[in-house]
Amino acid sequence: MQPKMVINHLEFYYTKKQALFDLCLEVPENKILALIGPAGSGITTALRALNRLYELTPGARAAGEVLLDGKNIHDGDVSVTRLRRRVGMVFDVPTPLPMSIIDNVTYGPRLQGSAKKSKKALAALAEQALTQATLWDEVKDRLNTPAMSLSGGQQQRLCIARVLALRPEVILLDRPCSGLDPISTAKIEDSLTKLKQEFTIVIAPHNVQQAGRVADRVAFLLSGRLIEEGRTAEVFANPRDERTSDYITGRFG
Amino acid sequence: MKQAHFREKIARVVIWAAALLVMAVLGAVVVYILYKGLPMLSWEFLTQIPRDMGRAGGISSTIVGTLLLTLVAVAIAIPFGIGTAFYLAEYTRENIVTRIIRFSAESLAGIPSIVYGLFGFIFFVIMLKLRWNILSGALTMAFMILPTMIRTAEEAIRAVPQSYREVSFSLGGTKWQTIARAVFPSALRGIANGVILSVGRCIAETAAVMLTAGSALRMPASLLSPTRTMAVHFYMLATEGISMPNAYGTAALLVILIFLINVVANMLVNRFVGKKESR
Repeated sequence: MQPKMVINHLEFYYTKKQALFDLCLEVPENKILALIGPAGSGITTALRALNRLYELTPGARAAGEVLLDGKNIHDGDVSVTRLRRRVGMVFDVPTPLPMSIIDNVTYGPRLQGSAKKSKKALAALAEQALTQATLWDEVKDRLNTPAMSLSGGQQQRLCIARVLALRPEVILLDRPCSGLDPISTAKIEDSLTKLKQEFTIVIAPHNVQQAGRVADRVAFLLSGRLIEEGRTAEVFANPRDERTSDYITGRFG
Repeated sequence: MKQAHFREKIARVVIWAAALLVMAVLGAVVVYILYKGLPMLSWEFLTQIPRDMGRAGGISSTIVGTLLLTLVAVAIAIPFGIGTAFYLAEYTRENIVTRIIRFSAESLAGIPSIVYGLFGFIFFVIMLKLRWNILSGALTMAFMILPTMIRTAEEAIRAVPQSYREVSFSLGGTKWQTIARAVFPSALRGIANGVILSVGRCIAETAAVMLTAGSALRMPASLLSPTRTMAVHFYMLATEGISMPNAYGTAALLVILIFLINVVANMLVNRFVGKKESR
């Protein structure tokens, strides 16, 4: 099967500092790929390169190819807003916007002015997204209350629902469980394994154990370079590179 | 340890004393003006135009003049002020142009109002032949409040968490959608505070208005009529020794008006913003 996304010889710079070196990586469709590595390895950078969100950072630039269904996302005819609807992102801290729960979930769809959706269609979309993010039962009676009133774990699932409401093809999750309690973390991991049937997922897990629990494949990055990539079970049981084994066994990072 | 404790106590006393002193002085001023001025306020005072240079009659024309001038000045300044603020905060990175704009705005904020008055007089009244009227006064005041408006709005916009922008962009938002839907609602409270501050300055301004809007006591018929604002009226009554009681009456109404505008504006902002935020 053709991979959903392909990163080809990606070099990434923040002004003068290089953050990624000749990164080549395939993102398999309907799988969960985990990018692991110690802080400062370029994992967040790699995620932000997949939906061109790095362009918000002054001085950041990328060279090389990132293909989505075989099409380079840096091509001139690619609409960046459409790209970001196809490749959604969940951030490391829950970031509800200061509006109601329902308005948060429908924020993305409501931006698509041409395809103005009826209130009813939006509500259906929101219910579906919230259900998939396993949050519907907890919020269905208070959809119009401020999103800030939810707990941290609920807020993060709301952020996942907000991305799901876009009906994206790929979902990027940047340490989505940092700062969350174990129960919330378990809920999110649980929904991720269900979501992969419909979506392609790239996650930066907040620790190695989480990668082991949810990921089909893992890629180990160190100082902006890909060290090793493979099926999770294989990499964990039989790392080819000594540094991978040191990291996984917790000798550093 | 003991010394730290002692210092803590001293700091507390000093801070409390400073706050109390300020409150006391402010309270004294307001109470004195209301004490002297409130007895003057009557239905006639509010609804009749001044007679005999302000010795008799009311101050209705000055109230209308004040409100009209303030309204027009703020209406002119809002789009430019908030537009510039969004330009500075969202559409450019720091460069020579933004530094020039910011430096100019900050310098303009420190210029005495009489200088604005002189500029307005020369430019609007004489050069553009607008003459002394509400429009000239409002244009001059718009220039004067612009720096405050730009600065407060820019600060409010910059205070909006960067994550709101990232979320909006990551959900496929364009720059304008992000600003209009994610940034503006969060900055609204701060922006509104700047507008309220500007309204207060317009209502209270004397020198610049006297030089550009005139000091006619007639009821203004249009924006091209000359007018005398309450602050100017108060100034004339007091300095020319026309009528101190009426001067206090005008001052009391000024205080009440500014207070009312603050309350109403805050209520409006709360109604608009409060629903969306959790507090």
